[in-house]
Amino acid sequence: MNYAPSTKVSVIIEYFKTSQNFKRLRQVLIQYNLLLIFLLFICIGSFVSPQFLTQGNISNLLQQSSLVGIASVGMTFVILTGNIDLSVGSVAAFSGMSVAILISQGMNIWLAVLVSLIAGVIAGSALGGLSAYLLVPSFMTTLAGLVGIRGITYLLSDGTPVSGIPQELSYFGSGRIAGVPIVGIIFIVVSIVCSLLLKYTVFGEHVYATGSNSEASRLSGVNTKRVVTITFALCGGLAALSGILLTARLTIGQPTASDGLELDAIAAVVLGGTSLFGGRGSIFGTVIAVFMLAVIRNIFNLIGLGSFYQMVITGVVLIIALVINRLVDNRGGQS
Amino acid sequence: MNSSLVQMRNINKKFQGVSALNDVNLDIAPHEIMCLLGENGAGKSTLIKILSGSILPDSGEIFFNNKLVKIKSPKIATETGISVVHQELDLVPDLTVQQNLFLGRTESKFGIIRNKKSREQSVKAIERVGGKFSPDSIVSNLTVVERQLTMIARALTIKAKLLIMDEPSATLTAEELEQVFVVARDVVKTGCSILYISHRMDEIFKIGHRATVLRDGRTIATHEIKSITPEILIEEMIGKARENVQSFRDSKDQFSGGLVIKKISIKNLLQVENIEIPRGKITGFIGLGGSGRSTLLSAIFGSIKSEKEIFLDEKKYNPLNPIQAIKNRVALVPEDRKSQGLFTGLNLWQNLIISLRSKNLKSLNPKKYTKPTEILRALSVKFRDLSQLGGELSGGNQQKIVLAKWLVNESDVLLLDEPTRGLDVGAKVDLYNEIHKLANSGATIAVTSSELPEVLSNCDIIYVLYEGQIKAKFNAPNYNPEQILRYVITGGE
Repeated sequence: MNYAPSTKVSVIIEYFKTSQNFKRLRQVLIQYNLLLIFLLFICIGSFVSPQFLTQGNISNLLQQSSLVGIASVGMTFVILTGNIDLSVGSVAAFSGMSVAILISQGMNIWLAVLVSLIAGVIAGSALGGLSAYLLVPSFMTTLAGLVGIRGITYLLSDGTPVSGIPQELSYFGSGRIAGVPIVGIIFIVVSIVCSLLLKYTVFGEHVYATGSNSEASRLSGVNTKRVVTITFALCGGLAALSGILLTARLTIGQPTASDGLELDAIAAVVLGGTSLFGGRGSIFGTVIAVFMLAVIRNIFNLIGLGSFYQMVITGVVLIIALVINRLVDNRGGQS
Repeated sequence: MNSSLVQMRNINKKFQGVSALNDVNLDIAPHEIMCLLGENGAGKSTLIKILSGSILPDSGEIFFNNKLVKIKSPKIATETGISVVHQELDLVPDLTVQQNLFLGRTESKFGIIRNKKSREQSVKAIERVGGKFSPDSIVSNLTVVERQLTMIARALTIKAKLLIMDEPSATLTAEELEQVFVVARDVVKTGCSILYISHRMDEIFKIGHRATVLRDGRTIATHEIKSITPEILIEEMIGKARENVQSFRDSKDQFSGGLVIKKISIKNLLQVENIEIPRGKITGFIGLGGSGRSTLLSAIFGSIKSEKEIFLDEKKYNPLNPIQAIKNRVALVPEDRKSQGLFTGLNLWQNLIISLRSKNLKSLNPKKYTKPTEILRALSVKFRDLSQLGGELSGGNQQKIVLAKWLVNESDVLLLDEPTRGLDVGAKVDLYNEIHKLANSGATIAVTSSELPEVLSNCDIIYVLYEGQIKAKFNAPNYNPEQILRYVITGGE
């Protein structure tokens, strides 16, 4: 009788050791670890506060996280190529400011939005292109962008807020359809489109290829410099979208808006399992991470934890995520 | 005028004034497996890079199918029909096999990926190279041999006419290599030529039709494999041993102590026992690239992990890291001067004191602390002043700076990994003169080399390394070059 169970255990161990099964189990755990942790936090949330799973709270969550989310989706492209974009906060503020000023000068609302979006795309591709074609680290070119573009934003309005956002635009920032915030819908649509772009287009394949092994991609005939520049253009465009929506929500253009957006976005992308070295990761992971960071903050608010504690704990969560990310990366390399 | 597939004529290439290729010629016939042989630094990789468009030659001509071609970029190389299976395996690890096979020319409509034809072609290509993996496997999950087969499959799908295989055996087992060989022979039959780079004789005699030997950036000879012996090829690779060699060394056993290695073992890399590296003598380790000579020195220096039992001057010495080794006054002058030894962007003074673990920081002033300058003088380094950058010196003087760094630190166990690599003849002699002086003053010196004449004329003791094992030990002055050569080539079997 003593004998039987131990063999059973050993059979199970053998099963996992010998076959592909263990590998598969591990892969599943690695692939979906974030989703599992996310679900865990949701359980914690609903446990600590009865308000957590109410429609109002969830809708709030979506409203709060969408603007960071949109910028994070753009950031995912950049980080997938092994680069980084520190300028998104400033680009968002610039576009948010320019849309307010253009409208106050009497320009057509949608034309103003379009012009501001294009400004973001241009800023992104300029900073990214500079990095890709002149072989300067993107960390440096976009750091310059972070400072410079924020400065231009202040200059645009002499450092004061610009008001006068019409109803049509502000509706996009704070309106709801059937209780769902419109910014949330925009975030989800952007995420789905970008996800499809990464998965099913040649461009998406080249993004992964460039980040995974830039030299091999180049030798295979991939125009890696162009690929990198396009990802920065996308990132700049989405940052601009995030900034415009913020202006719409606040109904004023503020030169200080979106301060530190780049850090929130980078945090979400990395937490979402995208490798900082490039080549690995997904929009899906980023989206989950954006929600998770929002949920963590939400739980703290619901249990009344001060914002200083929130900062500390967010930092700790990020460190843990980075360590996990690194371990996963290593395993991938070994097998 | 003849039926060559590829002709490289008088190719020259210099890097920062140092000649890497010197009027090199190479001919590859259609349906041929041409082997390219040469030691580390002989110029093989430079030649491949030129052929595959990664770098441009300074002068010389390349003919492909008797047409003059200028291979300015990897893309042009691919379009010409040249494909490389690199040692480092230039695949994109996070993509699937199929994505890799078609990377750069993915089948698409309006930018959206269409996979039908690529699918059929990749299944066919994988089948042809005998792969048992799916086109959807992620490359980083494949074994090394599977990755090589993928590279070959890639060459097939782009209909390459010349396949360059860069030391495919370096990371393969014998059976895996056999599998690659079967594929290679099959590929050649169907109209592709192969340039096979290796320095392992058994492989070359198994697969090659002809062989070209490079040494010191020059073409030494081209042979039909059928009418040549490994001995001749090796001799051409590492230089002809002089007749009646006698060691120039005349050392007496006036010093005691030194390194005694009971055992060093690193799985799959190195298994050595009972090596003595006595004080006051120069102990040489000769072996072909990959025989473990650099690994051995790194293990003694503690810069790579190993299982070991070493005694230094009869005391236990088992360094876990370079810091512990340096504390025991053991020093390593690494193989690659530019990337591992010298700080090219720092000045000489900074280069010399970097390993110094002095607590008295006041002494670190070039005016008061003159030892570094004295050592440079003693080594007869040619330099302007100590504020000169390391990168400004010539190769031989750079090597002396790396050595001097350790002498400043009063290290007296010197592990010199191919110290003469990339130096011209005069600088080689000059460097060895200094090494002899150090040995005569009681230093313990270990030297690795792939050049037989160099070892014969400079070492008191010679160990032959073959595939990670010590196969023979010889004591000066009774060297038998032929015998040493045989051990280097075959391990003595």
